[in-house]
Amino acid sequence: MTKNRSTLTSQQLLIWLGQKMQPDLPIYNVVFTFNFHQTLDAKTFNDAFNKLLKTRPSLRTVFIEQKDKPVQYLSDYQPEIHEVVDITKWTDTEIKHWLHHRAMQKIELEKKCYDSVLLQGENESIWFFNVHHIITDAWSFTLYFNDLKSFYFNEKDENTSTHYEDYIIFEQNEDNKKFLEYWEKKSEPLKRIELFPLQTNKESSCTREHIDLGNNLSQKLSALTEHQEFKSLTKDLSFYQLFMTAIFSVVFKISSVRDLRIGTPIHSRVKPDFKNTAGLFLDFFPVNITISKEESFRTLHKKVQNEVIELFKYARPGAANAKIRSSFNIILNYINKSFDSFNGIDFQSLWMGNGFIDQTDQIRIQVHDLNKTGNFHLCIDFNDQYFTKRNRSDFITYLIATLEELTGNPSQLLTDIQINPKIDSLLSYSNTEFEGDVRKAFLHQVDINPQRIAARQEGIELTYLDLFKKASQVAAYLQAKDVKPKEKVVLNLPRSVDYIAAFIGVLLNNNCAVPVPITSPIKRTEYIKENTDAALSIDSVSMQEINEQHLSNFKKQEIHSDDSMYVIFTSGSTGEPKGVELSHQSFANYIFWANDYYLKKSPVYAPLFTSVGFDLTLTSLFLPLISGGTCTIYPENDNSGIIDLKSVFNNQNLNLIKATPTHLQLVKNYLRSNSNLKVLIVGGESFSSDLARYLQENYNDDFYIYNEYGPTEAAVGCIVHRFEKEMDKTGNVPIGKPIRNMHSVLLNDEKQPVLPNTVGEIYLLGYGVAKGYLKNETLTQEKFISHELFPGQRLYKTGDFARINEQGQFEFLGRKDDQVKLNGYRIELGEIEKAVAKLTKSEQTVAMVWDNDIRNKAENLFYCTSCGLPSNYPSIKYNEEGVCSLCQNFDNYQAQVEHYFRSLDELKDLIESRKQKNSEYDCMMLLSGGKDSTYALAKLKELGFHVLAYNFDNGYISQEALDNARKICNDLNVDLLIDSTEAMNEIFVDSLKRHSNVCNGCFKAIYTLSTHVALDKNIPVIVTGLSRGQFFETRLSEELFKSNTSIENIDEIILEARKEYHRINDAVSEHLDVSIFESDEVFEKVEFVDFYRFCDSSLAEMYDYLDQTLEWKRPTDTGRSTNCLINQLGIYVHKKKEGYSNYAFPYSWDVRIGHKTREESIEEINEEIQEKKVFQMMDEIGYNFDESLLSKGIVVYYTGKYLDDKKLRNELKSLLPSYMIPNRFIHLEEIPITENGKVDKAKLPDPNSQFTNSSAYQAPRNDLEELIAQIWQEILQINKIGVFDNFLSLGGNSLAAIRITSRIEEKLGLEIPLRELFEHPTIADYSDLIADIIQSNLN
Amino acid sequence: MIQKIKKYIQSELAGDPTLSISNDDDLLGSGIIDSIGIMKLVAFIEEEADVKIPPGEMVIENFINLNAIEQYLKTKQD
Repeated sequence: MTKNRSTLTSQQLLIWLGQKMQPDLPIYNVVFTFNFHQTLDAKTFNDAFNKLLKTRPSLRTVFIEQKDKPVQYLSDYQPEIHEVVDITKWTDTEIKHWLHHRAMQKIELEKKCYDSVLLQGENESIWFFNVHHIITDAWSFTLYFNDLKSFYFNEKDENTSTHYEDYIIFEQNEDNKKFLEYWEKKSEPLKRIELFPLQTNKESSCTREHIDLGNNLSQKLSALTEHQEFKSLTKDLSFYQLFMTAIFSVVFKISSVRDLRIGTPIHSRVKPDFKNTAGLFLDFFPVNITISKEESFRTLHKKVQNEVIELFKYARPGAANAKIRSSFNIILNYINKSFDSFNGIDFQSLWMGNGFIDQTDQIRIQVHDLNKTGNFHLCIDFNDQYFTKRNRSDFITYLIATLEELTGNPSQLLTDIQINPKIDSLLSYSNTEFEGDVRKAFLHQVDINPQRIAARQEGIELTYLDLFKKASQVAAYLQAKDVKPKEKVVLNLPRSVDYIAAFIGVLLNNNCAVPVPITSPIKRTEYIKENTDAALSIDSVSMQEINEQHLSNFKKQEIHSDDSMYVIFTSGSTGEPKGVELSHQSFANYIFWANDYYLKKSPVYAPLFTSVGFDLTLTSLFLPLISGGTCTIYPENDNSGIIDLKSVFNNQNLNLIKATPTHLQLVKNYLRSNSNLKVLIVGGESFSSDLARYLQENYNDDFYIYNEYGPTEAAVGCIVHRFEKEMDKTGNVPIGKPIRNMHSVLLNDEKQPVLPNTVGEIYLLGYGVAKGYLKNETLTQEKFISHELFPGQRLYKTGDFARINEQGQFEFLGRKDDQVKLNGYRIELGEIEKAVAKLTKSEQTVAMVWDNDIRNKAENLFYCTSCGLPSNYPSIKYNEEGVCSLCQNFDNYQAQVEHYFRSLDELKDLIESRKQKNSEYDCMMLLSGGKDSTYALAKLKELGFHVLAYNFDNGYISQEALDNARKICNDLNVDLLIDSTEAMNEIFVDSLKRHSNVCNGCFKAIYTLSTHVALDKNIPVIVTGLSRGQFFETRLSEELFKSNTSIENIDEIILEARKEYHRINDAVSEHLDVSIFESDEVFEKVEFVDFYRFCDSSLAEMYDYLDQTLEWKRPTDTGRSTNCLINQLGIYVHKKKEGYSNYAFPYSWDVRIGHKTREESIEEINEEIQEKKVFQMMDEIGYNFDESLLSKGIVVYYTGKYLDDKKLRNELKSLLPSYMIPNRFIHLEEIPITENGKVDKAKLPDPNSQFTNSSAYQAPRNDLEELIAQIWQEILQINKIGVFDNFLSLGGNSLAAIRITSRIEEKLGLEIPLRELFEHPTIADYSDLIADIIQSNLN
Repeated sequence: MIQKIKKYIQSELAGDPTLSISNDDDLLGSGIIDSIGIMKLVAFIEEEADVKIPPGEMVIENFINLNAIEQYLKTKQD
């Protein structure tokens, strides 16, 4: 018995694994049937088959697992009795059924890898032959068949073929490393190409279609290959490339994706012997093509040619692996082998499908002419997940049409190909005649139902007549104020009956209403007034003025349907709000339709609870008023605009509510039954089926939910769908179909209609389309376009993507802005949100890409109107006047701060008192060469002291600053010591890692080294030139002053902080001698004193003095008020890593205390960094750019269960491609929402200040830990701090320590020494300490 | 160069180092090499002769036999 075990080839292994994943599915059955038009002789056939078994030993391969690895060996030859089935009495259907069933029969790889049956009928025989792909391919079947024929007709006996074992050995010996690398590179992930949407979860099931291209098309293709540029080295190669070109073209047209990839097998029968060897000889490799704009068949074909050359260059047996195989899901297999004739006996071969496909493959296209018909045949396997019957038919139609076009007009641009003549009935649309306006409809109600209640607000009820009267007064008032028709009137009112009256009043005078909610920030309101050139603004005060007397001279104004009815301002994703102007006709078309559709013209009782600045609100405002119903008003509570949704939804008197999905999420757990509520209209955001179903089930059967889609630019709502529980089961609820007189087309990037069932951008046309954007002609031209397919119409380009499903309904797929790119990959934020929500059971997740580069862009920033602090500073807030919270807070303690500052006389006394007898110098001055330290030095000299000037050269000091220092010291006759350290580069790198800047490290080095010198030379005082702004930046926190601590106390605290500062383990402590700081002695021997605590000279005075007395020159080679060149590097890194400039904060202080102007500060913050120089310096100091600079990434915010980052990442690996796994996870109690009921992205926490936890998160376990955690979180600006997280690792520094300690004192009345925080650097430890202290205090 | 190419065809593509190939033998037509083989041959020639063969020049006329290949390579050098 030959039990020669072999390993598997790499292709075999892939199949082995694939089968193991789906052990019960016949995915790899390769089945051919040969239908002979004559009955074959069973015995002869049997013998022939046995000879086949003998001489094609690979058929006898079996597979077993040995020590968890698969091996193969040949089972011995045993002649077998071939299975025969009598089908003489069977119908065609029965035969088909039997074959189909048998093709799906599972093959047991450890027993026998084939299944062969002869079906005998009358005048026909069918040879059914199923061989597992692991030992075969299509080529092998031609070998089997041709051999069998030879044996059947006794044409030969033996077969000298090479055995597959030889190939196994051959593949093993091939050195494929270089080629593998090439292919792995080529397989880098692309956006998944989805031809048609995911239909169901029918994993792995597949439908095979057989297509005969026919003589005509086959001939045309052949003719094309005779043309110079379509001709390759062989005819087969030429055809292969043509088909590949056609397929790329079709995939592009359907998916609209430009970066495409197709997989194709190259058979590895590289040695001539292998050509006669049966077995699996297919390696699959990717072919990548990017479709350019203006791509034609010709240009595409050229690209394909080049790719094919590369393909053959690098394709090697075994140079493929699982990763490469899974990088594509569309496959083209061109087979150029065929079956021999059967000596005159007619037969038909059929390559049967087995009903299944690798679940990751979408479609496999096999091109062949196995039967030697002279025509091409396509055998296409469609994955049922992606293809319904309609989709399959469409695809085939497109492919054939493309082949026709290719042969007919090779120069044709891909985008011009019209391959579906029956695109859409949409192209022949029309609008019904339309007339009417909302005012008329309201007045009609006033006529017929004057006593009905029109509006209700907290006890006030207004009848239609009342409302009309009040509105008339408003109109009269407008006229009295000389407001002419068509002019715009701002309505800056709270939600109230006044508001309604004012709106109608405005319409009575044929003015255009511009509603602005009272919660709108002043600046925005001002902007709106200006932008609309409003003739007048009506606010609460004006409403009080309005009364009856205005009525006397009132003249009613005519409305033309084209006149503007309202302007609504949208926020837009960037920059200024845009004013969208709509006509009466646009709105009337919507509201009349809504009146007919929702409650069939019966009176509507709806709540008015959403922002008046949101067009969604207009429905709730006007539907009641034109139907004779009542508008129930829920006024704003406060500036947040959020109201009690529960009371809205549970109001039993309402029959219609319009809300956003976010509203519904918030309120869904509080809903009571409400038998009067008939209609819920949902708009504004994506609406999930789960949520819809949940709501539907809460109410009774006579309740309907409608998903209403509509941008402000198309009058409130224009595509609507009624939620159907049975149909709309997964994903999002469809948005449905356009309303009356509105139409929607899906166009691609070239503004052409996309193919049915494929993705495109929504363009809207019809009565509802707005006039345009106020004062923004460019944007209006861009978004409101004309289109040749719709002559005379204006189309609005929405920026929303959708597709039309089988039922003809639109399905919303997201905004263009949501399709973001990161590092070249397209990121589907929606997918990430879904995946995270799944894992954490979060009700709302928001995924975003943050990019510090964009964040740092000057044009995206807002600056404090007072100090210039930019808006990218973490968690900074501004009040209505644009003043930042730091400035506002400073106002509160500024007075106390004055006590901290002293006079020069006091400085003199201080230094005098510390004079040492045996010391050469009275004090040391840290002299950088800049204006601050130079001025200080001069003043010290003036005071008569013996000063040693200490300058530190960090290797990048400005030459001019150094020259300055030397000159000044020379002129002043002061000794100058220039110090340095060899460890500076390490210190820089460490500082960049810890603090994202270079200054921290540098300062620490200076302090350390200067202290050494001072000790050596017995100098008792070191004077620093830190500016006042720098004091506030590093030491003088507001907590120190708020708690009414005495100045002595403050000094003590600051000294403590300094001590701890020197005791922190970092690069400085590693490379420099910090042993001197271990005991407190050094702090007694050497005192640090800040000159500017004692000196109050203004900037002007300082410059004057420096100019006149010293001829001091301002360094120009550093470009800003700093003395050193490496500063730029620090700023660059900080901006990238942290998302804001490290100078923002200190400069704001300089401005706040008058040492810098706001404009100067802003200019310097935005100063351009010379990146080349920065990179050079990074090289010099040994800072590795790539690893530590994470300036952009994906952040996901979620509610629900908190999960450890690491765990989340791990779990997500199986749900998302690697490039979509978020970098930051931020768990929130709730997601902030705007007053329009949408997610408020601006209020989401800064992803930069989120620290990624390495240790397991442990939530606070008791009240004390909770309290401490809150304080730490607030001061360290970190969302969630676990009780075992280390203070220093979290970015804690002296200032933070001071603040935390002060807050603890404030909250608990306990004075905890600063150093305790450093000695108990976790919340757990710190809390234990405090608990102990409290305990001992009680005893 | 032609010798190198011949050797490559014999050992790598035809699998028979002793196979005799005359300089005017039709490589494809006589079945010495097939579609895949010819592509590999072209790649080999590019590498060995250090030339770039654009798709436009990948026509059967240039590679039909060893003579043609030699001619073609000569024109590349000019």
